[in-house]
Amino acid sequence: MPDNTLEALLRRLLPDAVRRELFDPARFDLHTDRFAAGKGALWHRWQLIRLYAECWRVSFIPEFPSRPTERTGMFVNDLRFALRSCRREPGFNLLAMLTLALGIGAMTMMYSVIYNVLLNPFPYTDPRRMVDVVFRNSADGGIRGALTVTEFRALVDESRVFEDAVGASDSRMLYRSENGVEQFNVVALTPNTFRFLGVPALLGRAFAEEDAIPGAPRVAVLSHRAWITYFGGDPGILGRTIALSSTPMTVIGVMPPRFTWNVADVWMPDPADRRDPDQMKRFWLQGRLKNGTSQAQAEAELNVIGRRLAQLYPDRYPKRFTISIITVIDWVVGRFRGVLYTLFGAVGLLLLIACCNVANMLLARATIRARAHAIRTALGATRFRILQQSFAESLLLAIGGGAFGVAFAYAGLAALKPFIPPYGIAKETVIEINPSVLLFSLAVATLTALIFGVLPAVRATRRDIAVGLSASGKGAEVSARHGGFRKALVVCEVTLSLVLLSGAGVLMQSFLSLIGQNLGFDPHNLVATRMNLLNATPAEQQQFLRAALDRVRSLPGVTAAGITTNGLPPYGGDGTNFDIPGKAHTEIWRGEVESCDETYFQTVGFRLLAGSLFSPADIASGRQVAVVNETLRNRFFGSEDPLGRQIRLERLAAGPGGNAAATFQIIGVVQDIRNRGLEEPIAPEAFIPYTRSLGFPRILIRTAIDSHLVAKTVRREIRAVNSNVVQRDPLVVEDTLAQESYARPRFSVLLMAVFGALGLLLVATGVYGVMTYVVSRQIREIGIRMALGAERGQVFGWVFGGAFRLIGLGTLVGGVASIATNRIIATQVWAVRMFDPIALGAAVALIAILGGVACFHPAFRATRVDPVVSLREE
Amino acid sequence: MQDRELPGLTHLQFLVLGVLLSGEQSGRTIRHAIEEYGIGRSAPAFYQMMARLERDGMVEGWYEQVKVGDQSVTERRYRTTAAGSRKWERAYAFYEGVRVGVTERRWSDA
Repeated sequence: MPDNTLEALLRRLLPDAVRRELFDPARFDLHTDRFAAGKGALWHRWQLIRLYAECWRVSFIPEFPSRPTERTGMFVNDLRFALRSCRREPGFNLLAMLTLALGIGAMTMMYSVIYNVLLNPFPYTDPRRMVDVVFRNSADGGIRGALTVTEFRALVDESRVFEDAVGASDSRMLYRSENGVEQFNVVALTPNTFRFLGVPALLGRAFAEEDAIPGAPRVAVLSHRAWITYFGGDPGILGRTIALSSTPMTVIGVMPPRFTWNVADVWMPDPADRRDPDQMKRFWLQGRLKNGTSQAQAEAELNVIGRRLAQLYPDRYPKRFTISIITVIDWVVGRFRGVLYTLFGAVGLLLLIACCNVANMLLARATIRARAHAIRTALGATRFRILQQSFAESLLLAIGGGAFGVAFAYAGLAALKPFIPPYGIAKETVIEINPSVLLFSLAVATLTALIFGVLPAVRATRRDIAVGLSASGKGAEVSARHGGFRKALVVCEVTLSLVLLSGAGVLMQSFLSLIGQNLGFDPHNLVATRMNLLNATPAEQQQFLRAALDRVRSLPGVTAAGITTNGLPPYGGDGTNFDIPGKAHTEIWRGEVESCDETYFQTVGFRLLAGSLFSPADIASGRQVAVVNETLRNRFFGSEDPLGRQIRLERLAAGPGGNAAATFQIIGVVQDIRNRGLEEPIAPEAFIPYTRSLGFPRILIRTAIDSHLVAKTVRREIRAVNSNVVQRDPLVVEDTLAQESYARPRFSVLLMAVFGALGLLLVATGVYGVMTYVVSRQIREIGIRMALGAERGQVFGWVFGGAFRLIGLGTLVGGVASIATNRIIATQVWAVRMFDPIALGAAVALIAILGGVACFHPAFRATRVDPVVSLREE
Repeated sequence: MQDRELPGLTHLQFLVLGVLLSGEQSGRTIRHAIEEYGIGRSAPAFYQMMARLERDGMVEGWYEQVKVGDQSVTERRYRTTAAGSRKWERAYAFYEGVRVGVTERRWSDA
């Protein structure tokens, strides 16, 4: 663009006075400077743009009074004035601060949850660059994160994408204490792990490379929980030797409470060496990506290594697979991220509603102060000065609101913590209000001061002085001009509130669907307890389990008990591929296999649909028979009768006995129950006698009384059978469901409902305030109407109808906005439709009812106007 | 007689009018002159002040074509008005009076 054109264009985009008085003489000086100094066109254009920006700046914030301290001093004076004003109108200012505090407090509370759960959940060094590496089977989407030592070494040693990488391999080991035998979760870590994570030990030291050298003394680091629970928090633990599964190791350190890497009780070093004779060992790989390495680049490089491994060991890999990386935060938080951001959006709306309310209050005050402003303007105060003073008042309100808001946030977080789903967040997470959160609150408070304070002030100062001076508190003109803006704010509030409420409705609907769905079994009065007998042969294990089962069945209140090794409804067994001899299929048939005894079906409440269940003889002899669920029958057999047919479970083929041990004859079909949680569809499932694959058994107990009472005695009864038993604390299925499946949606619903209710409360007070104000400004008009013969009913209808038109308009706009936002929410929650007329209708009805209540009093007040009195007053 | 009325000029206005007392000047020259006293202002801010002085009747401004090298450019020129000169004289007298009064008189509580 030629210089002249740019100059002409910029010139045209300035107000006339600024162009004439500021821009023109300055641009001529620019020409002189350019030619005097021999500058080029590029310099000139850049200076022109700077000049243009400066003209706007100066026109808004005048440079004069010229003494630099004067403006600062004025602002301090303005703040003093604002403080005096606060003292003069304590009720008004307290109400405004509390209104803002609701919005700022909710925002601070949600931000502290997001900051601590999503942005900074771990106490480790640079957790945002930490990733997990997994193999993804392209055929069924299944992922495998447990890598062989060969895979682990290849990916770590041959790739250049990681700044550093660590491995973790978990196992169960037994610790015999004075109180019995405890099972420890022991995680073997590559020796660089503690350096990688950057967390020092609370007591003693963490292990390092020299502790993993072959022949080095065996050492262990305790978790804080294990230290407190099993060793009574004794500092003398350092240097003591403990035996884990009969292997002695010296305790060299205790980690701080927040350090729970891989949820271990004990960490020990393992170099993950290719020469390790234990070929079954598996490591999870976590690495920190190098700065500047993108996820896609890292995946591309790791996949090259993966393909080379597949060429070397073709039988170990599926035909098509990829290596993916998932950030550690995503791995833990998963779908909870969407829920939190949805809720953060909701508090944003709440804050906007609060801002609209306070803006309305300030506008009313500005109207009352119109005359004072006009006098100040007439005496020479610039518009900027008046704006500055308004901003000082708003800032004071915002700071007060922010302070109350932080207090609300503290209280809100304390109330919220019990509802935060334990399984949706990292174990290391500590949710608290920290300096980052406080800084955020300060920023929000300042921003709100700008939004709610300056806009009304700009409107209030855009007035003709003559009108302001003549307004003298009666100002119909002033009232009319501000009335429109105030009404627009009310429409905004209704719109935002409707979006909030309908969002809460959608989440509520999702939650109700979740808790109302048919699980296929009764989750009430069901207890599960895990156990294992130390150093026992399979025959001894079976004998012990039978004895334990008999003892449990004899407990008062127990109606049934059964054994399973891997299922805990609504979760089924372990994943496996299926084959049905004689049935060809190209895709992989995948489902679950669960080992159980003959009484398990009755205990859970399975209904037999065809054939028979296991007999005690089937279980005792470990016969190769299977019972399948409806889904498996329908999917793999269609209309054929599955009874008597064979089914091959690939998972078992890898164990002793090979293919022969993996083939079972189907003897029965049972009704479906949920076996992949509440949100996933039911998977095909086969049940086999637990004596075929004795894992870590679990006894499931059906009770006729409160299952918590039974749970308390079960542990003692089982230990009475054999003191060598290792047990986990019994689980009450109902409680597990509440924590794992219902906690997350309940959290969302609860928060949205609270935010929706607060939004509604603010809207109601906002509508009430505006209508009261409108009626007070229209006393004269109402008086004239009544003097001319208007009935009280007509006046009521006029005022009430006017208010309801605003609510109607807000509802209309809010309805459209709700449909759009609900589509977003529907992608984050389970089983809701994109458009839910019931939730939207309920929200509209709620707003209409509350709006009606809020309008009633002002409308009724209007009917009490005495025309004679009102006309005389005016 | 000593002028005891507070001067109605800011320091900057006093300085600008002082620069113009020696004769008419271009805006650019005045800007450079006041910069020598450590007062840096952007061109728009400076001309905003000059526009106010014009509106208050203390200076007069006009455009004039001048040559810079072989280029012809326009510049804004200013001179003080009689009112501007009077105001500057009054401010000067005030400060001078203060200087003399404060430094030569003996101050005591009595």
